[in-house]
Amino acid sequence: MKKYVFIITIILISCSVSMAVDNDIHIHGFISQGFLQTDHNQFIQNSENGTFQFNEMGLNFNTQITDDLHLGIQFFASDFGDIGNDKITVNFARASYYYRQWLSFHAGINKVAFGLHGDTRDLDMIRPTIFLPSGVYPESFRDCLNSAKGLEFRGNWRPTMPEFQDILGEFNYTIQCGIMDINKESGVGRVLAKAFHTDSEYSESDTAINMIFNWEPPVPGLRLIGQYAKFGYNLGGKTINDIFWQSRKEDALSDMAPTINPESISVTNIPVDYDGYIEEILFGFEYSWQDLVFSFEHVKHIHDFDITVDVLFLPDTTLPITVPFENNSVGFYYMFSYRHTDWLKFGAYYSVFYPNEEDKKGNGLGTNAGRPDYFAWQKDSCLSFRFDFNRNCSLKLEGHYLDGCAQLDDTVKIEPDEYFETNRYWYLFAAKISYNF
Amino acid sequence: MILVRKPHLKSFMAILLIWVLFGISVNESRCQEPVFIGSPDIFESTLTKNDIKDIFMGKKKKWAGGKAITLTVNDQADLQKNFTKAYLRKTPAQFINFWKYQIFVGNGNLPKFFTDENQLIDYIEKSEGAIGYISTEPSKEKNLRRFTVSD
Repeated sequence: MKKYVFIITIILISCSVSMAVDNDIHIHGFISQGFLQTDHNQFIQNSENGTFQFNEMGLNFNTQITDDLHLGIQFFASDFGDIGNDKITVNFARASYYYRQWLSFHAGINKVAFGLHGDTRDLDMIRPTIFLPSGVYPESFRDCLNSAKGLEFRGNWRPTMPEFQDILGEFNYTIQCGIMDINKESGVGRVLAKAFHTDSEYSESDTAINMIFNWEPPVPGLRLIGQYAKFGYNLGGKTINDIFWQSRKEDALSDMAPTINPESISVTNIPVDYDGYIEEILFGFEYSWQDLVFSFEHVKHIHDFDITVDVLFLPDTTLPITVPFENNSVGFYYMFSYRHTDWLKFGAYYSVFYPNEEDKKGNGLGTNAGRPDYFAWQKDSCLSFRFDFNRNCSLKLEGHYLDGCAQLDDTVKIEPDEYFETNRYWYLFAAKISYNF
Repeated sequence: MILVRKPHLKSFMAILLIWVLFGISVNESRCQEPVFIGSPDIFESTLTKNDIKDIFMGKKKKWAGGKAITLTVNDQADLQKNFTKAYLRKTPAQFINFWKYQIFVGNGNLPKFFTDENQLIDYIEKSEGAIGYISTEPSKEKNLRRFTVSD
């Protein structure tokens, strides 16, 4: 119901405000409605039966206050199975001060820049495919890594002397500093709780830093990108009773106190706290030639945490023990898109994600303990067709063939005994119609 | 556990790639060089190709005198295609997509699009700091800045 109220509000506000304020405030918006179906595995809730719980809508207001100062705000709501649920949020709300071409300054809620396409995640009308390659752009991260409160600096520079321009090309940079709302119910919170085999109860994020550098070398159509981001995070809850914690207990005892009887210690369903940071290192390139665009990106996530477990010495003595925890996940994709006519564009990509760089084959090591081997990877082959009815309206049809389920439980909660009921190979079909003005 | 046989996806992708490579159009639209015009209050009379790229890609937002740049786009298909290809290294669809992206990430306002060139000329003449491109030399009766483009 809230969805329809929001849609009607978009239309009414757009009409009335456009008439009232002439051209001083620019109003734009978008609505998209999708459909998802999988042959096996619940990609989102009810996807095996087909689901329409897959939509986005946004409405933004922009105005130029002075020659240097620009204000903009965008309201956004989306639904993706259990994520979003059409809750209206502020996508961005910021004041932008343009000083020179090499420096503009933005304060407020900024969209978080990530890779070549990260900040287009909500903008279905921009990209050729419905889903961004999940190896680098996990769907589950969109609800908390999209926006950050804080500051942003950006600009671009090229040498003034033409002979150096021919050698060095052009440089663009974006530096963001702020805080993202990563609550325990968010995608990142869920993914980390899953990696830590923990029922999360609280979470808190620290100030994040994000730096992106783009270089357009003197090769027409080529753009190179490099990114580094880091944010601190604290998550706590209770350990799950599964093989992951049993094996950690056995490892710890054999290393530190081999004489202690393992039966006298419990490490399941006890308080645990994770305090540390996540780093993201990304690099990639995009090359466009006429209507053909080819891109590649690779990302590595470094999780570096201190785990404090209140180990229970039976019957009732607890002893907090802190141990380091490191896990690196990696992902990459290569993608091409081609506009064949004004109304038809198609694209394809191959995307790979490994949640544990040390266990790409699924040997049950580290975070993948107690899960089928195919939860150690996810390889997604996608073919997508986009039909543009006009500049404002498009329909996309897309098929995915997936090998592995590493990101399946990012969006849907799977109980420990349900992991072996999943299928390694599965298909996903998606359709989406979008309108923007 | 049900295992689904892996399809011959690589073969399908290869066929698609061949279709793309052979399907890329070699037809060029009729060569129509854009003529750059601006509001009479603009100080500059010469722009480099990089200036034009920066202005139309929203990177350069102020004139040398500090006045904000008001961007207009001539929406005539052939002219727009030639302009975006020669100066921005983009197709018209990529150019429009780029500006939609700018709006929806909060980086600025959409340029004003005109399908009627006379309306575009009138708008630039009456606005402050406006720039645009047209298909022919403007009438001498119009009070406009005619930009010379250098490399």
